[in-house]
Parts: sequence; C-alpha cells; structure tokens
Amino acid sequence: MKRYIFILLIFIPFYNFASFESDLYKTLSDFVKNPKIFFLDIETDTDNNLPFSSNRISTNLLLHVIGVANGSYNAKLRINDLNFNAGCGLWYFWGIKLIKYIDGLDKAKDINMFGASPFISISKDLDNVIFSFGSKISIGYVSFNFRDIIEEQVSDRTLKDMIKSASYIKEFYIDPAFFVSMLIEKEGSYKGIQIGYNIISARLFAKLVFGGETFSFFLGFYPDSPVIIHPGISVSF
Amino acid sequence: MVIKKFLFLLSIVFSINLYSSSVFLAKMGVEQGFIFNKPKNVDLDLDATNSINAYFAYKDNLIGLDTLFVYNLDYNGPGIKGYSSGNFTSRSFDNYFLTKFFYPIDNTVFEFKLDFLYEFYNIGNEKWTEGLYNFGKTGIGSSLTYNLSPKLILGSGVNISYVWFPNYTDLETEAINLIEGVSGSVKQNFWQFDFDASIDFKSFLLLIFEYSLIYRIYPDLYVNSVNIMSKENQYDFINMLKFNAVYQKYDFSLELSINFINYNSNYNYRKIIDYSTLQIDFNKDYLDYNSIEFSLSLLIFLSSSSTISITPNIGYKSYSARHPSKNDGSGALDYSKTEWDLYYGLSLAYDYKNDDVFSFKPVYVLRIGKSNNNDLLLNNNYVSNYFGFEVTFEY
Repeated sequence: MKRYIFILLIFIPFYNFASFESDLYKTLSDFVKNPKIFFLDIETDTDNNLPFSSNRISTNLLLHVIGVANGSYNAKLRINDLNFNAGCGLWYFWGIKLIKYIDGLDKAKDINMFGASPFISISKDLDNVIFSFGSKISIGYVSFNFRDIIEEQVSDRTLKDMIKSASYIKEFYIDPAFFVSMLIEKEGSYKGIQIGYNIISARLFAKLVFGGETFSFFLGFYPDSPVIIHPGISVSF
Repeated sequence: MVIKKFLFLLSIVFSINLYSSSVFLAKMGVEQGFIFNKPKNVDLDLDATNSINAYFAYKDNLIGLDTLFVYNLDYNGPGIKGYSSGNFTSRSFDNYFLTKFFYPIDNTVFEFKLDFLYEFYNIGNEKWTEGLYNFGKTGIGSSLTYNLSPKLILGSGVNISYVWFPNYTDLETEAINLIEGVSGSVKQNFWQFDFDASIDFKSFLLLIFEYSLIYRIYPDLYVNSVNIMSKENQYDFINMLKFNAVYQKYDFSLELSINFINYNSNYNYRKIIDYSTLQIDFNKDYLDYNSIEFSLSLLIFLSSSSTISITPNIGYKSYSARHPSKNDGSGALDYSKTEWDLYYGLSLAYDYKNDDVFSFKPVYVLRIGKSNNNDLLLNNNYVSNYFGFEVTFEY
C-alpha cells in the first residue's frame, strides 16, 4: 500500500490547488466547450472493467473534479474453459450543479450529467498475466441551460443570438467502445493497463491501475482532452 | 516524418526472436512529455507530447511454416492544446499489420513478408477519413539470414512498397502551375524499392554493419524545372550506412552508434516569394544532403530492475544545393552558400522494471540546434528541453 500512497504523493503537486471558484470555472469551461468529451472522460474515470479474478463492487474518487457519485459491479464468470467479466458502472455528476454558486451564474438551469456503462470482456491467463478483450457502451445524458444568463449579461442582439444557441444543450449520448487490457495480479496486489477506442467519437483512451484488495490508484490518460491525465482512487469490496 | 515511421516499424519487427517456434508478445503503454523549446529570436514555446501505443505479435508454425503476425497501434494526441481548445493541433493514429513467413534451410533462414500501414492524420475537426495528410503504405519483401558461424551472421533483404496520400493537395504547387500555365498532377504517391545488407560479428564486442539503399519514384509527379514543360518524373535515391559497436559487462554496457545518410533527389524547389508580383524562387536539387550522427550510450545496470542510461549525441547535416533562407523564409539569404544544420545534446533515462512486465521510465533530453538557415518557421536554431515519462506493460 505504501508504494501507492507514494505514487499519489508524486501526483498531488500536479493537482490544481487554486481556489474553489477557479476550479469550477475550469470545469464549466470544459463542460460547455465539448460536453461529449467531458462526458466520455468521466465515464472512463468511473469504470472498473479490468479482468479481475474475483467479483468486485467499486466506487472511484476522482481527484480532478468535485462530486462524481459512482458505483460499479464487475463479475467474474467462467463458462467451460473461457473466462468472462461482465458488469456495469453508474455515475451521477452532482458537483456540476455547484457552478450555480459562481457569481453571475446563479440563473443557470437544468444542469444534469449522468451515465452508465455496461461491459463484457473475455480473458485469458498467460503465466500470471491476464489479457482481455472487451466491449462497453457509454450511455448518458447531459443538459445545461445558460440562456437566462446570456439574456441578462449580453447586450448586443446579434452576439446574444449567436451565443444563445451554444448555451443550451439537452442530449443523450451513446458511444460503444472496445478495449484490450493487461493485468498482473500477485499476492493481493495488482497492476494493469487498458487501451480502448470510442467508435463514434473516434478517440483513444488509456487507463493505468495500481492497487490492492481494497484501495487502488488509477490514472486516466486521454490525449485529446483538455486535461490529459486524470488521477483517482478506487475503493473496492 | 514518413521515413522515421518506416524505420521505427522495422525496429519493431527485428526485435522479435526469430528462432523460437511459438511466441506471443504484447506491449501496451502510454507516454507523456513536456517540451520547452527556445528558438533563436522567438519566445519560449511550451508544448507537450502524449501518446498511446499497443503492439501484439504472435508467431507459430502454420501450414508447415513459422508464421508471424504483428499488429501495432500508435496514437499521438494533440499535446497540451486539447480537443476543446481553440488551438486544436494535429493528432495521428497509425495502424500497422505485418505477416511474415520463415523458411529455414540448414544455416539459412528465408523470410517473406506482407505489410500494411495506414496513418490517419487529423487537424482541427477533420474526420479521420478526410485528413489531409493521411497516408497508406503496403508492401511485400523477402530476406535471407545466413548463420556463417556462431560469431558471424550475414543478412540481406529486398522490399517493394507503394505509398499513397489519398487526400493530399499541394496548394502552393498547384498555384505555381496555374501561374505558369502548366497542367500537371501534384499527387505525392510513390513506389519504393529498398535493399539492405548487414553483418553481425560477435567477439568481446558486438559489431553490426548495416547498409540500406532506397529508391523512390513518383509516377504522378514531374520535377519542377526551369523548363516548365519538363515531364521528368521525380525520384529519391537514399544511401544509409549504420555501424554499431556494443561492449557489455555484467553491470554496464557501452554502445557506439554511427549513422550516415546520403540523400539524392531531382526535386527542385519552387516557391512564391512575393505574392504581389508573383515572383518565384527556384532552388535546384533542394532536398539533397549528407548527414552523419554519432551517439554513445552508457547503460548502468544498478540492479535487476533498475537501469540508468546516459546518451550524448551529435549530428551534422550538409545540403548540397539548398541556400540558407532569410528570417521570414522569403528567398535565399546568400546564394553563394549552402545550408548546414548541426545538433548536439544529451539524453538521460532511468528505467525501472517490475515483475518483468511493468516498466516506468522517466526521460530527460537536452538538444541544441545550430544552423546558418535563419528561417524562423524551420526553427533550426534552438535550445530544447524535454521532460517525460513512459509507462509500459510488456509480455
């Protein structure tokens, strides 16, 4: 466990300890500019779909955004000589609602973001290294409405009309993905990597995981995103 | 960039143990780096690199022959300027497939291969399939490896490849053709024929000599010539000579590497240097150069899991006919001189391995570039610092 705390300490200096409001502004900016990418990042951050050898219920604490409630179930299945993992993750980003407390954004409405990601994978154990190939579907809903704020704060009519169209969204997202994983389990600890591809949004993602029976540390790695490395801690039972 | 990509893919294929019968290899990793680049006369530029790569190889005896299948994925993200940023920069996504058959006869192994590479290169919000700089390569080749003695191995190979750029349009050349009233294609597609030969000699030193000859012919591209009606096809002719000497002891290894490249092309450079008068600059044999690189790597094996590497290097490139440009790249600075580029630097890396599968490698690279070419866009005069790390799982 010490080594994972050590890894965590290495990454803490990279974490932005700026003011709460500044963090919220940044989150808001990413969210509004490209809600789908933001949605997919959080969905992958909350996933727990590596080919573990036992059933797990997990929840993840994301260190770069505040307030993502999530839980996931990963079940190990064995059919004849084949090993499968299947499960689902569910999450709700209640923290995004806090942006209403930023000065001038109190009239923001309908801010919602939640999702689910059922998955299945098939795996093979080679000399204590487990390889898996799987597929998941990222399903979710994103909405926000900043029209009243634009109405109040922008005086120019043309500019107001332009911005208003981009200040309102109410969308369901479905994006299937496939992934390959590699996992080493040894004496109650494990380390693993997953590389995947979202088919509709055409982007790659990766995830590194280092952990034990209960606690693990992970890094989401999203080359296309505004914040490339997403650190987090996972708690499993 | 295309040449670098091909060399990288060759290095992957050669790293596989050719003599074991059933092998499965897998490598998955991520890489993140930060670059602090200070070009001369320009402000400090901060950028980042981020990549995801995966590599799978399987070799087994099929249809009576040892057969190798390789898939390699290499994805490079846009750096620190992410997807939602207004300054979204380029990203590339390579998919490489290789099938190779081995046919051993006594001390000789005959190999036949088929390979395919497609790079999706994407800028801004282009779709992957519409990327301007996408390119594909497909090829066949064969090689012979002859074990003359346990200490001496000889090798040779020939390959034929076709490289195509489905969406590329050279707008500047099209504009010049329009100005000069020349009708012609600007398709960059080319055929590539290459031959290589190598000698590996093992004594207290491991000595490797490699020679490669590459010939490219562009069927749809005519040389830009003073005679605008010229129908001479463009070609490239590249000679590469590589020498490696490795001395290895229990707790350290020393490797000297020398690379020499002689690049010849009949490509002549035409560029509009003044759009108001449509004045065109002409530089014959613009691509021709000789280059030489030296590097000396010292690897210190601190333990079975930790290695430190220190690699100083220096390289020099001298163009045969290209003249150094002015700051803004508009024409030659001095027609009596030809361009030279020099770089030197140092790389430091610490490689930590765990369980023989996982590795973590922080890397620092210092590189200093000097040149008599002042073109700020080419950025040949610089001091560059790179800090990065790689996390790799390898089976």
